[in-house]
Amino acid sequence: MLFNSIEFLVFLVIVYTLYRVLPFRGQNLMLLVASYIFYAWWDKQFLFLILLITSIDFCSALIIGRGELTAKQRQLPSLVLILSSFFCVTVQWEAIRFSLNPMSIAIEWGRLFPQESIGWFVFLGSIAAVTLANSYYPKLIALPEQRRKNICLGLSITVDLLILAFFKYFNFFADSAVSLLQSVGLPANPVALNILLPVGISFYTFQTMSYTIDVYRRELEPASRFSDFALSVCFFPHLVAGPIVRAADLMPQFVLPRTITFDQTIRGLYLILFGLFKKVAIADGVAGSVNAVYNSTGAVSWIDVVAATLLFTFQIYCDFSGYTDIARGVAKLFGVELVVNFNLPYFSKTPSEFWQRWHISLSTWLRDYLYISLGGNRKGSLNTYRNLMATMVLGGLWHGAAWNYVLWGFYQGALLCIYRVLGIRDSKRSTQSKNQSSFNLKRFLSSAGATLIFFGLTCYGWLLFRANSLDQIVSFTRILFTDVGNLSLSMPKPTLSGLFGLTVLILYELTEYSINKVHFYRQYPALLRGAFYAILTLLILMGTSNAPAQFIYFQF
Amino acid sequence: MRQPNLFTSNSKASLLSTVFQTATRQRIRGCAKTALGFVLTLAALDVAINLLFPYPSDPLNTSPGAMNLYFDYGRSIEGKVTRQLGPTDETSAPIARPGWLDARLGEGQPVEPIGQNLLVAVYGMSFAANTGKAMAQLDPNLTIRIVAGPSAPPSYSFAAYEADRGKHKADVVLLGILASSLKGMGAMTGMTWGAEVPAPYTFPKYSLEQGRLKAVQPQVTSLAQFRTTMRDRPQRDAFVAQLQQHDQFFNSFVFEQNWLDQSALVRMIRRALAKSHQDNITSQIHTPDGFNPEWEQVPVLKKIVQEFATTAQKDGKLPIILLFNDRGYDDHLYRLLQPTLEQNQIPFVSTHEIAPATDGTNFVGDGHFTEAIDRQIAQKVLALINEKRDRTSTPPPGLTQAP
Repeated sequence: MLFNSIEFLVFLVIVYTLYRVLPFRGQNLMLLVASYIFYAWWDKQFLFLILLITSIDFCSALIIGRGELTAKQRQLPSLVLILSSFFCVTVQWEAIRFSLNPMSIAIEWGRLFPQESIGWFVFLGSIAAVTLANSYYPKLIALPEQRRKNICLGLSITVDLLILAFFKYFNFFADSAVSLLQSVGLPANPVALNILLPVGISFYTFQTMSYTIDVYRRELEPASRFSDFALSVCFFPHLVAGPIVRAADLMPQFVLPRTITFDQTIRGLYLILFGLFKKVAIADGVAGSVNAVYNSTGAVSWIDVVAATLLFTFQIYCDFSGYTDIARGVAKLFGVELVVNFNLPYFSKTPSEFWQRWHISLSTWLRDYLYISLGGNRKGSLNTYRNLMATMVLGGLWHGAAWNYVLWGFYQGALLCIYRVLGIRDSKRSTQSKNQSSFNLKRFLSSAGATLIFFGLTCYGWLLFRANSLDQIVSFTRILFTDVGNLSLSMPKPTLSGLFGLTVLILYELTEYSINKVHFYRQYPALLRGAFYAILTLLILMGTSNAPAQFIYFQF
Repeated sequence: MRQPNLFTSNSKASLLSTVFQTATRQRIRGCAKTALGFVLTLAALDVAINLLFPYPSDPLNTSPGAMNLYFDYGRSIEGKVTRQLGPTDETSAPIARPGWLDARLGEGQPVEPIGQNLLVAVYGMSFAANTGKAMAQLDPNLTIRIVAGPSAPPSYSFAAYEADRGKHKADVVLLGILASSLKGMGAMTGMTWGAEVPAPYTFPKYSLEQGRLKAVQPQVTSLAQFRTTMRDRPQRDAFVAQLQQHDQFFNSFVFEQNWLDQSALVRMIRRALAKSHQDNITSQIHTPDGFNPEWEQVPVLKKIVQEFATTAQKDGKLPIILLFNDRGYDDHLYRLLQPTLEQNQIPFVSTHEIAPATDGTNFVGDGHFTEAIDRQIAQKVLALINEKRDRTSTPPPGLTQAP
C-alpha cells in the first residue's frame, strides 16, 4: 500500500473517520490494528517479526526500568507472540477465497494449514520460547539489579540485531565470505538462502533498540501498557520508511489523549500535498531517465553519467523526503508529531552540516547510540577519525547489504574526516544572519562556492549509492574523468512533470533558504497560497501518469 | 496601590469568547480565500492549457506540437479516434489508415519478384518494416513486400499473413514479433492497448480450442466501415460491446467519449487511470524477470508461430520468425519462444544478441533501433535466407557489411 496509491487514500479515509468518532483508548487500539493491517498489506508473515521485537523489547525495558513485570504485562506479550506466530506465519490465508458475485467463500483446508511448513516450526518455537522465558523469569528478577539490567539489554539488542542481520545481511556476508575464500584459493561452495527482506526492518529495529537503550540509560520511563509501546513501534505513517522516531518523542503522544488543532490539520494536508508533489511529480518523473543510464549494459557518455547522477541526486531526495513529508502530514491528521527528517540538505557546505540536514533521524541515532558509544571526539584526533569512519561505514551498511553502500558510507566518513583535517567548519547561519546587516559579495561568493563544491561531492556519493555494481562505479568514475566534454546524450528526457517540478522545487527551496523560514509561504496572502497549492496539484496530476515506483527507502 | 478589577468573571469569559470567535472567523475566512485561490487557479490553468495547447482539429495535421500532444494524451480513445476520421480514407489521419485487414491489404506492395530477385514478404510492425527496408538496401536482388500495422501484436501479424496468402509469390515470409507488443494479443484493436496514441485498426482475438487456433473476428475490419460505425450509434454500441467482451484492455472510462474530454485536468486524471489500468494488465503478462508463461495468450502465441511455419512450408515458402527484444524487455521474448522455435526447427533471428535491449545506444529517441542496428539485423536475416536458399548476396557499392 504505497502512500501515492488509491488503496492508501481509501485506507486513510476509513482510519481517519473511525479515529474522529472513537474515544481516546479506542483511537489507540484502532490505530494499532490499522497499522498492522497496513504492514500486512505487504507481507503478513513479517508482521510476526514486528510483534516478536515489540514483545521482547517491551518486557526487557520494563524489567530494566522497574525490575519486574506484572502478571498482565507478562501474559499479554506471551499471548500476542503465540497467536501472531500462528495467524501470521502458520496459517496460509491465501487458501481462503472470497467471491462477491455470487457471494461465496471457498477454503482449501489442506493449504490453509499445510502439513509441512516452516510455519508450524515457528509456531511451536514460539510456544517453547514463551514457556522458557516465563519459567526463567523468576530467576531473572531474582538476580542483582545491574546484572539483570545487562542481561535484559543484551537480550533485547541481540534479538534485534540477529533479526536484522539474518534477514538483511545473511546472503551478503555469506557471498562475501565465499568470494574471499575462493580468492585465496580455498574451496568454498556458495550458500544462499532464499530470504526476503521485510519492509522497513532497519527502521523499526533501530527504533526499538533505542527504546531499551534509553530506558537502560534512565533517559526514559518504560511503557506500562503493551498497546502504547506497540503503537509507537508500528504507527503506520512512519512504519516502513521512517523517520526513525525515538520512543521518548512518540510514546508520550500515545499515553495521553491528543487534541488535533486546526493548524495541525491544515499543515498536515499541506505536507501531504508537498510530499506527493515531490514523489509523484519529481521522483517518479526523473526515475525513468536515471534507470535508463544506470541499468544500461552498453556504452554511456560523460553527459549521460553527469545528467543521470544529477537527476538521481534529486530523485532520492524527493523520494525519501517526499515520503517523510507525507508520513509527517498523515501523523498530524491524527494529532501526532513526527520528527523533521530533512532540512534543505543540498544547501550544506560541509559534510557535518549535510548530516544535520539529511535523514536527521538516522544521523542523530548513529551519533547518540554509535558514535558517542565509541567514544565520539573525546579521545583524541585519531580516535575521532576512527569513530567517524566506523559510524559512517555502518551507516552505509544500514542502507543495504551491498558493497556499494559500504563504499558510500566510507566515502561519507572520509569526507567528514577530510573536512575536519582541513579545518572547514559549519557556518552558523542563524547567528550570521543576525550579524549581517548588509550584503557582502565576497562572503556570498565564498558561501555559494562552498555549497556548490560540496553539492558536487554529494552527487558523486550518490553515484556510489545508485551504482548496480562495483564494476559500474569504476566504469562511471573513469568516464567522469576521461570522457569529459562528451555531450552525446543517450539518456531519455525526464518527464514534463519532473522538469517543471524540479524547477518549482529549486525555486521554493532557494526562497526558503534565503529567507531562513520553514513556513515562509504562510506570509503570503491566502489567495496566492491557494494558487501555489493549485500549481502543486497540477504538477501532481501531470505526474500521475509517470510509472509509479516504490519508495527507494522501502528496501532499507 | 492595586488597581480595582473592572471586569467581572462573566465579562472576562465573554471577552475570551469574542476573541476566540473572531480568530475562528478569521481562520475560516483565510481558508475560504485559500480554497478560492486554489479553485480559481486550477480553473484558470485548465482554460489556459486548452487555449495555449489546443489539439489541431485537422486530421491530416501530423505535427500537433509536443505540449499539445502531451495535454491530449488523456482524451478518451473514442474522442481521439473520431477526430482522426475525415470524410474519406485519404482525408483521415495517417495513423488511422494502416493496418486494416481488408481488401486493400498489401495494396501498392510488389506481388512477385522483379526479374531474378527473391521476393520476401514481411508481416509485423515498424521494427519488421525497418528490417525489410534495410534488407532491400543491403541486397539489391531482393524485392520486399511489407504488410505492417502500428506496433502490431503477433495476432495481427499472423492474421495479416493469413489474409495475404495467395496474393503474392514470395519465396520467403517473415513474421515479426515485438516484445513490447506481445500484450496486444489480449486486445482486438490498436485503440485499446495503445490508449495514448490509438491506432484504430483491428485484428482477431485468438484462443486455443482443442489444440487448434480459434479466432474471434472483429466487427469492424476497414477504415470505411469504422467511419460508418462511429457515426451510427447502434453499430458503435455493438462494436464497443464486442470490445468489452473480448478485449482484455478495454475500459469504459478510458474508451468512451464524454464532456469530461473538455477539461485538461480531467484528461490528466484519465491518462493516469488509463495508464494504471494498462499497467495492471501488463504486470500480469510481463514482469522485470520475463513474460508470464501462465498468461492465456502464451500458448496461443506458440501455436501461431507453429502454424505460421507449417503453412508457409506447405506453400513452399521459407518461414522466418523475427524476435524484436526492444527496450525494457531484455531477452525475454527470446526466452519465451526459443524452446518452441528450436523444437519445431523454425528458422529465427533474435535481436537480443545483435542489439541488447539494455544498451540505450542501440535505440533512437522514439524507441526504435538505430539504422545501424537495423542493418545488422537485416544482415543476419539475409545470411539466414542465403544459407537456407543456398544463395549469395552482394551489397550495393557504398554499403559496407555491418560489423
